[in-house]
This record gives sequence, structure tokens and C-alpha cells, in this order.
Amino acid sequence: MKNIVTIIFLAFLGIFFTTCKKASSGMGDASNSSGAGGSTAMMTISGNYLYIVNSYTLQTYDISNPATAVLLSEQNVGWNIETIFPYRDKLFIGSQTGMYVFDNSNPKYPKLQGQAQHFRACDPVVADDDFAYVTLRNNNQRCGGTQNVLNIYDIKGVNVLNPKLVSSLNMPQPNGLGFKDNILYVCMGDAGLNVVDISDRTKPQVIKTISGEESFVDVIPFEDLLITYIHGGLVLYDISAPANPVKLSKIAEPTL
Amino acid sequence: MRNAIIAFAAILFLASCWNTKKEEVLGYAPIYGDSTRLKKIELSTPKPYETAGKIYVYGNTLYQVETGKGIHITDISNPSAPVKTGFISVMGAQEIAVKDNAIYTNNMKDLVILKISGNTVTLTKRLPGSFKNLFDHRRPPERGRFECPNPTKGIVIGWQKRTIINPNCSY
Repeated sequence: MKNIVTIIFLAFLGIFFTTCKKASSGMGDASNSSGAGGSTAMMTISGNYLYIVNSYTLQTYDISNPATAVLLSEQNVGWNIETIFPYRDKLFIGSQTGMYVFDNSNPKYPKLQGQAQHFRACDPVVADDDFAYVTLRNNNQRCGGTQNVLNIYDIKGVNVLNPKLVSSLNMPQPNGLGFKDNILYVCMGDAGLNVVDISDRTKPQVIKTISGEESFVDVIPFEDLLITYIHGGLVLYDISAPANPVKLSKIAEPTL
Repeated sequence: MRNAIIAFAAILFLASCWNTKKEEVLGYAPIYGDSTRLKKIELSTPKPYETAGKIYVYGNTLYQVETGKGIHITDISNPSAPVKTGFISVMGAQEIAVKDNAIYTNNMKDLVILKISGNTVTLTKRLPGSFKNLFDHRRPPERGRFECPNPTKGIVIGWQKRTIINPNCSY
């Protein structure tokens, strides 16, 4: 009799924990919709958790109550990590030698799911459900490398374990990037901002390059707004028609 | 005899320092910070951009790092006419994230959580050393020759690329 009670109790405990887990990953999605960072960030928030990449480690903080924010864990990832980007229950980490995908369905302890190695370069990464978008650039002596390219990786289903390169598109000095629907925006410093049609992920097409006085570093597509970080300040574009960004305003100081 | 050797060595050493040629090269010079102001975090009226940095958007507010110095706050509720509303001074700032009006950034190597109410900013929490590898400022960001830091001028909070004269350090 006692055993039966224990089994029932354990079963309830099991159900309780499963529900908990689902609730927390769902929460991550909801709270991300109210804030967003760029693709070159080293720190990001997903749900009640804050993540910092620190050269070779990933730190997880519980920030459900900011006043008692606490480091939950720190794990080794790889060398020369530069960027972190959250998407749904995943974290995408860019290093100078590869892209790491972490399963974040348990946000307290993200778990390495897959990785793709590439040539040595600086590499911000963003992702949606099925694909990850990585830029590699060589200009920065700090990162080395010889490539200037946008890479698209298939991360659908089990492919995430070993992301498969589906296309590469050369462009000058690609840096920060972001997407809305089937349009990807890629910053290229003084060379401008590339508007790339990715309806066919195996054949990305540059449909427009916005260039002029601005030197583009990173972007945040935020609903109908494209927020771009340029050398010296910021420029806002209307992207209600994603393929055709319309400049709304600019706040910037002349730079050296 | 031993004294003579030391004296000779000293002369050789000094001679190697006498570099009368003025050589100008493009390289990195240290940016110094006042160590007593290191942990001071203040809210002020908007400031011009100098070295604009990373961005984070939360609702109608855009936060942009002023590299090494703080965070610009801009109201973008009318994106055709954004308005800078304030500036938070945070020494060493490079990273930014925001959630539920809590602002997360770095004060040198520390993670700091800030809250703005009215005309003041308060420190909700400081987690020392979270960005442990962010401020290895012993070396500039690129290889080459650089101006050696002078500890009497303050602590190094960053590097600036400019024309420097007779740099004695390199890596």
C-alpha cells in the first residue's frame, strides 16, 4: 500500500515538473517580443534568464527578480566566442571558428546541441526556426581569416546536431545582420546595407544595397521598424514592406 | 669589479633609451579613466554621440551604448522624429539589454542592473566580475605598436587609434 502511495506521489511530481518546464520555455517567447538586441551582442535576455558569453564560456543568470539576480551556471563552450542570439528555445553562439547551437528548453542550463565549424573570422549569427544566418568577415585583425561571406545553415529538425551549409553569398565586409519574413538585412560597414531576398535559402539574392554616408554595423528588425546602428549613431527605417526599407530618421554625430 | 659591471650595464641600458629621432606612427594610445569615478553611475541630460555602440530596443525606447562611457536613451515612439531623452554614465559600458524597465549593462567587468525613476538612476544589483574577459586592457584590440600605459595618468579603460610618437610597446 505504502509503495502505491509513493508511486502515485512520484507520478504527480513528474507531471508537475513536466508542466513547469513547458511553461518556462513558453514564457521565454512571450517576453522576447517586447525587447530585442542586435546580432553582435555578448549579452542577451530570454525569459527570466540573462546570458553572457565571455570569450570561452557561457554564463546563465536568473533575473526573475533583478534585486536578487544570481549566476546559476557557467559552462565552457569554445574559444574566441563573440556573440549570442536567442531564438525561441535555442541560443545561437558565434565564435571566431564556428557557430554553436544550444538547446534552451531548460533555460537554467542551456545544453550544446550542435555546431558548425568555419574558417577563422568574426561571425555574428541570427536564426529562425529552420535556418541560421552567419556572416564571416576578415577586416578585423583581431579575428583574422580571409573570407567575406554570408553563410546559411540548415538547422531543421535533427540537422541542428550537425548544421548543414546550404548556401554562401560573397559580400564586402559583412557584419551585423537581422531578418524580417523572407528578407535579410546585412551590414557591410562603409559598403552599405545589403537587402537580401532569402525566400529560397539555397539561393539568397541581393535585391538592393543601401549605401551613402553611413557606415553600418548592426541591425534590429523590430516589427515594422529597422533600427540600424551606424558609426556615429543610428538610423531608423520603415520596413512595413520588408524588401523596400524607407529611411525615416537619423540621429548621429559626424565621426572622425 | 661587480660595481663596474653594473655601471656598464646601466650605461648600455640608458643608451638604448636615447632615441632622439621623433617617429610618428598610426597606433593605439590608452584612454585613461579616473579610478575614483569608476563605479559612479549617473543619469543626465542627453549627450552627443562619440563612439556609438551596441543597441537594444524595449517598447518605444532605444538604448545605445556610448562605448566605454554609458548609455544613450532615445524615445522612438515617433520613429520619424526620435528624441534623445537622457544619458546614463557607466564607465566601461559595452553591452546592453533591457527587461521590465531593468537595464542590464557592464560597469567595467561588473554586470550592473539599473532602474530609472524620475530624474535618477538607481543601482538594483552589481555582480562583480561577470565580464571577466571584457576588460583585458593591457593590450590594444589590434596587434602592432602602441603607446605604453602610464599608471600615473589613471587606469586604462580603452584604446584609441591615432598618430602616436615613438611608441615603445608592441605585441
